[in-house]
Amino acid sequence: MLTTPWALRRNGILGINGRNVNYVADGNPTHLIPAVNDKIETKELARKAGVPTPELYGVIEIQAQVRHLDRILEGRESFVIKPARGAQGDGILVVDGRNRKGRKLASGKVMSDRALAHYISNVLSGMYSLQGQQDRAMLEEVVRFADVFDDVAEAGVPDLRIIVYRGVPTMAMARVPTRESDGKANLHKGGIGLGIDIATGVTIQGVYHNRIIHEHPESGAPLSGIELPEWDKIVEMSARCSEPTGLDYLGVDIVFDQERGPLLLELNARPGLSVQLSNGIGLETRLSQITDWVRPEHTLEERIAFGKSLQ
Amino acid sequence: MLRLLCATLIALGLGLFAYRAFVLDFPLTPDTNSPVWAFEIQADLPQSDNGARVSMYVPPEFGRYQPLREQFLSERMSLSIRSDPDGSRRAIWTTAELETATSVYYRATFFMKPVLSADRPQTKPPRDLPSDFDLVSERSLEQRTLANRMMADLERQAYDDDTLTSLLIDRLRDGSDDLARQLLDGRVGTTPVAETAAYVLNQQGRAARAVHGIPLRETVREATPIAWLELWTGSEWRTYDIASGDPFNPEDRMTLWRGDGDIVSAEGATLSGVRIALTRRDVGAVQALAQRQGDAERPLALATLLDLPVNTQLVLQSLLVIPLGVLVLVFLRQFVGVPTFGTFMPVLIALAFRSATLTTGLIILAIILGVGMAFRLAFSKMNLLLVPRLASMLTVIIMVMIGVSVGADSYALGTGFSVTLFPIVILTMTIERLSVTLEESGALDASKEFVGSVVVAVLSYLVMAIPLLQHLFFLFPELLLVILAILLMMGRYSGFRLSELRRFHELDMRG
Ligand SMILES: Nc1ncnc2c1ncn2[C@@H]1O[C@H](COP(=O)(O)OP(=O)(O)O)[C@@H](O)[C@H]1O
Ligand SMILES: [Mg+2]
Repeated sequence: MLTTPWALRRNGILGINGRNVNYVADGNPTHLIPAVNDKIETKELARKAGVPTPELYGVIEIQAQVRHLDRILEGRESFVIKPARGAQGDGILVVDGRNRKGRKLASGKVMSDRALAHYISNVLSGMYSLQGQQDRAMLEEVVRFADVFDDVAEAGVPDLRIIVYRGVPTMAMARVPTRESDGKANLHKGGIGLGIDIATGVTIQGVYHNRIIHEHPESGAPLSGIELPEWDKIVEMSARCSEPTGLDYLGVDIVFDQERGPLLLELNARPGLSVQLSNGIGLETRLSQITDWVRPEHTLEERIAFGKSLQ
Repeated sequence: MLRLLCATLIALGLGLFAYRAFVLDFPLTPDTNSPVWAFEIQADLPQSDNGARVSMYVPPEFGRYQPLREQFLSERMSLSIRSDPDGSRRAIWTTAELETATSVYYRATFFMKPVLSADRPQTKPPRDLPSDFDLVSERSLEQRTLANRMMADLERQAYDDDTLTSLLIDRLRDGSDDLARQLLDGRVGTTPVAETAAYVLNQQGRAARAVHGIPLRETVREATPIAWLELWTGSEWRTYDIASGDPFNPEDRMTLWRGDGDIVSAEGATLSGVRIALTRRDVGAVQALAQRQGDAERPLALATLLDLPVNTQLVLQSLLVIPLGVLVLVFLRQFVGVPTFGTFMPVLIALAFRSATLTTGLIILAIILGVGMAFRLAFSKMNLLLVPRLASMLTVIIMVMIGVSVGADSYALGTGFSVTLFPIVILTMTIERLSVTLEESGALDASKEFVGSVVVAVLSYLVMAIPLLQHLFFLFPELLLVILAILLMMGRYSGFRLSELRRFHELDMRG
């Protein structure tokens, strides 16, 4: 049940302290992190990088703007309300139409206009933001999730998480919601992390509550061997994000839209470490190879090729 | 860079600590005892119809030994205290009439460790040097001639001041020749020898004086003062022992007064008895240290937080252990990986426990959190805005606290317990965090973080409550530098957490 620190080190595992000290504190300059934590600024970064994202319909910064919601939306009835500085899926509301009583939510409930205004004001006062600071609410295009994981992802929409280190795509994982996780992809809520071979885009194995699994814990479907579409494009998108953010160590979250294909959802300056369990490989092994290899003059293509060649 | 800083901090902190603990003898444990001398001079007066005036030499204020506590006692006599330029102090009691026989007392306790500081009587130059024609004492002209003859004799034998003085003392003490016998006028003992030696030297225009004191040896019920000689060398007073005639260091003697005269003298009445008693005793070292504060001459190294007003001391006592609690917290978070609410919330809770016992503290915490959560659930149904809702929660928590205090008081559960020390704002935020975690991440996560926080709070409380640590940090605040260094080093700890040894254990198999 317990292992030893030296065994972990021998296997090249990266721990939280190691990540925070050697990669986040030393590689990610503090003044560049807020841009990544703010999803509105992230969209700007993505535009610079030439990476597609769900369309931003508008931003609500003060309570009074709630009255003009319809004007901001230009008549669109389905949209997503998201706290710009939220985390872990907290405070995200997917609206999917309206009726006489109010807005219809994707969850099936109906929310009155008053309740919606109250909800937005909670978002603005920082209820869901990282340190409880004042926040902005963003109105975003609803992603129509493409069914790329077949019967593995019945309970909700998975997203992809790719670790990029100095522009080199390093390791990838899909986060798959379960019934237990209530449709959310967060691993600590009971979602499954699906390791993906960075070179081929084929799934390897799963991690569920920090345990390695090979079958879906609810449906029993096999977790390995699923081939993801447009893998090369996904890897390239994530590598592109590195440069405009200026961060060495970056987590890139990508979702599949039925029409638009892979879209960048958010960036993360201190991505989690479960990716190691789902890949069965220590991150440190790969990160140290990259440290030894990478030079400033390497092009995007060279970095992608090196990432795909990592063992 | 960081290593250098940490090494400097640790060296500085431990160095100061070692100096104060081992050189200055600051007590290392709260119950260390300091040996002190208890000293008493008693003078008895018979009944008399006339008034009386008693003059008693008491130890100089800034002598080699620091008085801890002094008392001047008498029955219905008025007291005044005079200081002479040479540092001698006299207590003078006067009365218009002595209805019954009475006694006057001087009582004091002194530290056994000598205090070294400038401006003490041993280092102060004499006010003016005696001139050749100065009739310093009431001795006769005949005596003066004798003194001059003796000096003329001795100056032929001596080659420097040291040998001259030694020879003089030896000759007076032995009393073998006529000259010495006549000068001493038949008296024996160290006192006449020292006084006469001083007199002879004064006749030569040298500043010299007899010093009276008592040897600090065993417990003595009735001590008699002995005398020695001090001679001004131009830069310092050089001390000569009478028994040996040689210069010596009077470290083991307590000086009482300088110059000629008796320890107690009386006018208008005859003293019926004088007693000097000296005993060795132990007092609590911290208490002893605290009493040194009256000394304005004390060197800065002796300064402690005990010099501050008692209220400030109490506040500092709590403040000084907070870094210890934080150290425990940082350790549990960085090395073990215990999840907690907020960063410092557990330590603040632990601090609140300090004003109660651990169990009452935990009970009160449970009550506040329980009631608070109930209100929070009710409030969240009303769709209140965030800031007003937090403010309402704060008010509710204050009311709960008042209720708890009133309840605790009427059941006489630990009176004087101050709930106010519970960090109200922190508790409000804790309830907020607890309920948000509960809503968003479910009961399992919430209870994990909650239990983690309580465990950290209890552990840091237990560490902060160790009396030895409280004592050490209060007397040696420089130890905070060491804590700072440890915290800084923990800030660059990149090894694994204990929790990760479990989390990643499956990855070990495929190595
Ligand atoms: N535009 C969107 N359309 C549909 N679902 C979305 C959208 N944005 C976010 N979500 C859902 O919310 C989850 C978390 O969103 P994300 O942008 O990653 O925020 P967070 O920083 O809180 O993790 C996603 O995994 C997805 O399920
Ligand atoms: Mg996310």
